[in-house]
Amino acid sequence: MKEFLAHYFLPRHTNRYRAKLLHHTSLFIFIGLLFLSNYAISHIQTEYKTVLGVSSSITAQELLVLTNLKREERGLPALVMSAELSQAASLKAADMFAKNYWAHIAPDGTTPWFFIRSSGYEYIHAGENLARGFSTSGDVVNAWMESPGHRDNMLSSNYKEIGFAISSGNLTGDETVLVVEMFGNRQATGQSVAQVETNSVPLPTPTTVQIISQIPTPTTPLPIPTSTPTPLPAPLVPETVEPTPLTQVAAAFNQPLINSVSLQRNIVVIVLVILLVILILDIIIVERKKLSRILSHNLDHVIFFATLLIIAIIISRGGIL
Amino acid sequence: MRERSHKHSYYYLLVGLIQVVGLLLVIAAGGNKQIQLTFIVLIAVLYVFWGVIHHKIHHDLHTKIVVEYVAMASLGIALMYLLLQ
Repeated sequence: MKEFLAHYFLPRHTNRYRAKLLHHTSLFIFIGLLFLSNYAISHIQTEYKTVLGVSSSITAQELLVLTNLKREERGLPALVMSAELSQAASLKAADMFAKNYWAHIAPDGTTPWFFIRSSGYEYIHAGENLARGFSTSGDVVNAWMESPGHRDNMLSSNYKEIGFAISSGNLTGDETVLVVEMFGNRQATGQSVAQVETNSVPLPTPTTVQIISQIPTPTTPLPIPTSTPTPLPAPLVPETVEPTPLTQVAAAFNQPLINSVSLQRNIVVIVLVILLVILILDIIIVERKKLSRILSHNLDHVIFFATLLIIAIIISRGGIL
Repeated sequence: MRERSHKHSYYYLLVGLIQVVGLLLVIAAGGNKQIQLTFIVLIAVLYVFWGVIHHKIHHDLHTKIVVEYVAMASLGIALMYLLLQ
């Protein structure tokens, strides 16, 4: 067994001083196997959706609890789940899948505010965060918290209510789980819509579009009660929340046995790590033994595969907008 | 080893720079997998091209070396294609 492993992983006399896995034939077999796996995964995903597909454990309840925990840590009042905002989020998610776009503003110019108003929510402040490709609620909230614009939305004292939609489908050619988070603060009685519209500001540029407030944020922050902090309600979803067909979340779609996203990511990361280990061992052993070979520069390959490993880790984390 | 590393340091610096720029472009194209894959293919092509040029400059270019660069680059593209499909 030791001989077998050494033959495949280390440069030695049995493999002409080049790990067998780095021989041209092995590399081309690897490539063939990868394309076969690719085909097999696509086929199983299409034919046996209950076995292999995109899955996630994200729920609106968890997102709400985690968001409110972050707010509580900073002494901010908890947000309350709004059925209208959840419906607006569902309408937005459905629109994104239907028109196949990943943006705050649809290709036809439809803004998030359209969906909020369509759901019957009259607001003075509103905001939207988007996420895709995440597997857990914690990962989604952490990704938003790491981004200044999204964090501002989550921790804004301008908002009092929140709504979520979690939907799976094909978005821009990618089977994914999409999370839409809508924030809002209802218009006070007697405050006219016209007044709100007069105060409205244009949408920010795409780089800051996640900071979505319809009226300018006050320069002085709203007073936060410190002596008598607002207690968090125990069940964070009020009884008034009635899920609509579109609002329903992770539970609404069938969870496959194997998450294809994790499977693909794991295959890629494992193969890249094995390649990097073999190449680094090769560099060390060849230098120590002062071997001379007609070969390309191993350090080139190490730099190339290390870059791909970083890319694999970063892009498989999911995206936010 | 040290002498050889020094001789090749500018070359490796440029290879590293190409990879870092490619990495940033892939991150910047976040959400659009087709563009990300295009940038990855570009990184791989430049890696092969620059590797071959470097061996040519040092008069140690062999067909075997070209095949090795192409095989490594193809393997990298196949891996990323699997991830981005």
